[in-house]
Order: sequence, then structure tokens, then C-alpha cells
Amino acid sequence: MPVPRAMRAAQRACGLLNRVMSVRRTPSASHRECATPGETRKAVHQAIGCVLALALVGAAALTISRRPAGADELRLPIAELRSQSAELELLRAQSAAASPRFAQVHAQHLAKAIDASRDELNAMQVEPALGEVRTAASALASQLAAAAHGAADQAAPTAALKALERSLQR
Amino acid sequence: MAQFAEIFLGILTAMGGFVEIGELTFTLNGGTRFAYQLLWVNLLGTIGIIVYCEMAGRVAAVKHRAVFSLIRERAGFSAGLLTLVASAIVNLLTCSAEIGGVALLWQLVSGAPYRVLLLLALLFLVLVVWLLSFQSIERIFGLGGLLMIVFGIALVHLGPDWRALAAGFVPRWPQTSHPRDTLLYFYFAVALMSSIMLPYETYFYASGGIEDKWKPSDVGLNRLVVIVGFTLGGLLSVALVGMGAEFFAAKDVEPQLPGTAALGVAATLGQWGLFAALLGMFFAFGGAAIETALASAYNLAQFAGWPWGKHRRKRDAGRFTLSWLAVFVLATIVVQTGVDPVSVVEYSIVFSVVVLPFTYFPVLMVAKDKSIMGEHANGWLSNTLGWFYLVAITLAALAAIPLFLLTHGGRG
Repeated sequence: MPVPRAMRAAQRACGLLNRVMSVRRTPSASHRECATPGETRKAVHQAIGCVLALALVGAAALTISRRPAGADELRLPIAELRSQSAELELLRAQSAAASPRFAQVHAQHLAKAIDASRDELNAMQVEPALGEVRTAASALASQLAAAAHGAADQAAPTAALKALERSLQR
Repeated sequence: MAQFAEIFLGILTAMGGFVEIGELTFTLNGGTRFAYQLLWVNLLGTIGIIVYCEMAGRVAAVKHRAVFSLIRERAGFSAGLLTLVASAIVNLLTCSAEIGGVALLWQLVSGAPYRVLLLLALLFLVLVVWLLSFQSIERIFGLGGLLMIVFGIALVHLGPDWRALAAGFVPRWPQTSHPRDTLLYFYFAVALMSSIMLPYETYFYASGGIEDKWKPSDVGLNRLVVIVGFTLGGLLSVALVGMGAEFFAAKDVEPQLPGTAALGVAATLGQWGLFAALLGMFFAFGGAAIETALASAYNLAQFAGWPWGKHRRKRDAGRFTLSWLAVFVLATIVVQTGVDPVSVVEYSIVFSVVVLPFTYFPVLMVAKDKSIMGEHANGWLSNTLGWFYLVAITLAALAAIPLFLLTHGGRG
């Protein structure tokens, strides 16, 4: 955008902000009547600063996210899957204590969370040395997803996921 | 009796801070990962929120001034506007999460589609705030939220390690197996402190005091209300840590869903426990949604000088009414996009730390000013605690974002 147009836009924003803040105050409100043009200019500068800072943080985050994941990052979805797997076992064990509808809907919620963790794992680009662990984890994630989506004969692979998680902690 | 009912303002405010959807799963997780090691943060945060809500309530009773009016006057327009925008974002995100939480709970009971339930939750909350008086809202949701005591009953039923629980109230260096877990411990400490001292609790509480028409003679009542309300909230929070430490840690489960929390109670107490937990969570999440929507409207109206208050006729406080309606609608749109309510509120908790010093500094400045507050100005204890917590939350605000990034958003 050309500079004069940007300045006009900023001036319009200042004017709008001034109109919004220049309303009559109730007796219990602040003693200040309205925002001065100086205050409004400062507020716009602040907003520009915030947007620039956010853009910097976003760029940094994007750069970091494109690096291949190491053991620390790979461990995160595996730990989530291990916890979800343990919860699925708990839900199966406690379904009598809970109401049938609760057990059914909570299993659906859990299945959705498992799908999200599995998708995160599958979308990860990992360091070459971690390729085998990722492949093994993906297979377990698929097994867990099948169990969560109602395959009653499918066991939740909690112990195997825990072993994988531990192998990454060393 | 009427004065006793004021207690529910404290209880409802505390519910919005201690047991809303994000705090519920976050506290359970804290207990699962670190057992009782973080209990001292609960204690510290509970005293902190008591100190600042007492000050804000006292200012409201004596001068009839709410927090955002003070923020604009004391911090100036620019810093005030920044605080307003940041707190509006935090409130909106939290409100989204709570509406999502209410819909999730209704789905657990009815099995109906989530997105339909989101719209029903929006309709329900709008009708509640539109039709009920402020006093009725605080009593119904404050009283209903007390059903969360079922988590405490479940903890006692589990037979916790009382010695370890008591030792948790003493701060100590964390006992972890990996340096990464030590960082995570500090992340949890900062975020837990922030979530207990969430700024919207103070906005809502002080504005609620004005809604309840407190007078200078109600200063003692204000003190009682904050102590009882937030102590109850703190106890519920301890019960959640205990459930995490005693039940979920043993099962290797890190709770991420409200249903998981209810499952823990069901496994311990059976079906009646399950339904009490679901009902308690419904009132807690619903109360937090109302608290955040009203807090947003209070803030905007107080900052801009508009007439505000549930006690006014809607046409006399049109922009205030429109503001809370807009927050409910926007929050529902946010959660209709399919974002996970728990993740949303966890982000909002971390970013709310940054708003805390801007919120609490003006409150302290006015509450300690004898020329404004006269005989009701802070005594030495309030001043000492006020400064201590201001320094603590400023340090937490500086550490929050780096810790958040270093721990992969608190995941480990």
C-alpha cells in the first residue's frame, strides 16, 4: 500500500477511535472525558507495535516448526497417545460404573482426540535416526484409533506406547 | 439472611477462576504429573486473589468505582486500552471454551450433535443473563457450582496420602527425573498461579459489588465474601490436584477432557458421583461463561464511560447489553470452528498472565490511597501483601511466554 494511503487509513482509525471514546461519562466512571488526539495516536502506534511483534513471533514459530522433529518433539504425541490409550482401558473397565450414554459419548470424544494425536504424529517430519520409532508409533496409533472407534476385540496398546515413550526419554 | 446470600458472589467468582474447563483439566494434570508438589502455588494464588479481590471490592463499596474505571484513570489511556484489548481477548477465548464445555457436558448426557448443543448453550446463556437478575445468577450458579465438592468426596474416598498432601503446601525445589520436567514444573507453577488469579475474576467481583449496591458499611461483608468464596474455590482446586495425584497418575492418564474428570469420580463413587460431577461442572462452566461475558461488557463500558449494570433497564444500558450479547455470539462462533475448548482456554490462561500487572497495579494504588479511601485505605498487611503479589505476578508475566515456548506449549 502506498505510504500516503496508509497514513490516511491511520488518521481515519484515530478519528474513529476518538469518536468511540468521546462519549459522555457516567458520574461513577473515570474523571477523564475523552481520549485526546495524542492519546489516540499513541494507541495506534501501540497497535502497530503489537502487530509487528506478533508477526516476528509468527515468523520465528514458522521457522522452528519447519525443522525436523527431534526426540523431544516426537515424544509429545506418543505421550498423548499413551495417556489416551490408558484412558480407553480405564473407560472400558469402568463402563459399568458410568451410564451407557456417557461411556459411549466419552469414547467418541476420546476417539476424536486420538485421531488428532495420530494425525499430528503422521504429519511430523522427524530426524532420520528417529524414522523407525515414528513408524512403530504410527502403527500403534492406528491400532489405538481402531480400538477407540469401536473395535472391541482390539486391545489398547498402552504398554507398547509407554515403552516407545521411555526409549525417547533416554 | 440477605447478607449471607452475598457469599454467592464470591463463590461464583471463584468458580470462574478455580474450576472452569481449562483450570479443571490443567489442575488435574498438575496433580497427575507432579503429585502434590504444586499445592503451594494453589495456596499462594488463593491468598493473592483474596488480597486483590478484597481491595477491588472495598474500592467498589467505598467509592463505587470498578476496576476498569481505575485502570484508565491510573494507567492512562494507552496502557488502559492495551489492557482492555488484551483482557477482551482473554475473556472471549475463555468464554468460548466455557460454552464449548457446556455443550460437551450436555453431549455426554444426551448424545445430541455437538454443534447443535453449542447453539442451545448460547441460547440458554443469553436467556439466563437476559431474564435473571444479577443476584439470581450469582445464587443459582454459585450454589450449583458447589456440587463440585464431589471431587473432594471422591478424594477422601480414595484415601489420599495426607502427609504428602500437607507437605505440598511448603514450596520446595521440584523432584523430577529430567531437566525438561523441571521446566515443565515451573510452567505449571506460573500458569496455575495465573489461572487462579485470572484478571476477569477481579473485574467481575468489583462490578458485582456495585451491582449488589454495596456501601462503605459493607467493607466487612466484602472481606467475608472473598475469604469464604475463594477459600472454597481453593479447596476444590486442592481436591482436583488430589484426584490427579491419587487416581489419574496411578492409571497413567493425563486428563484432557471434562468427561475424563467425571470418569474419575464415576470410578470412585459410582453413578451418583458421575451425575453430581457433571452437574457441578455444568454450573461451574456456565457460571464462568457468564462471568467472562459480563466482565467483558463491564470493562468496555467502564473504560468508555457508558452506563452499565444488570441492575439498569436494558434500554438504559444499551451498549452494555449489546456488548455481553456480542461476546456470547462471538464466543460461540469461535468454538463452532471446531477448536478444542480446553486448548483455547489453556492459551488464554498463559496470555492472561501478561495482563495481570496492568490490572492489579491500579487497584493497589487506589486501595492504599488515604486521600481517596479515607479510613478504608489499605492497612500495612494489605499493602505488604499487595506489593508482594504485584512483584510475584510481574515476574510470572515475564516468565510465562518463554516457559510456554520452552515446554512446547506446556506439553512437556
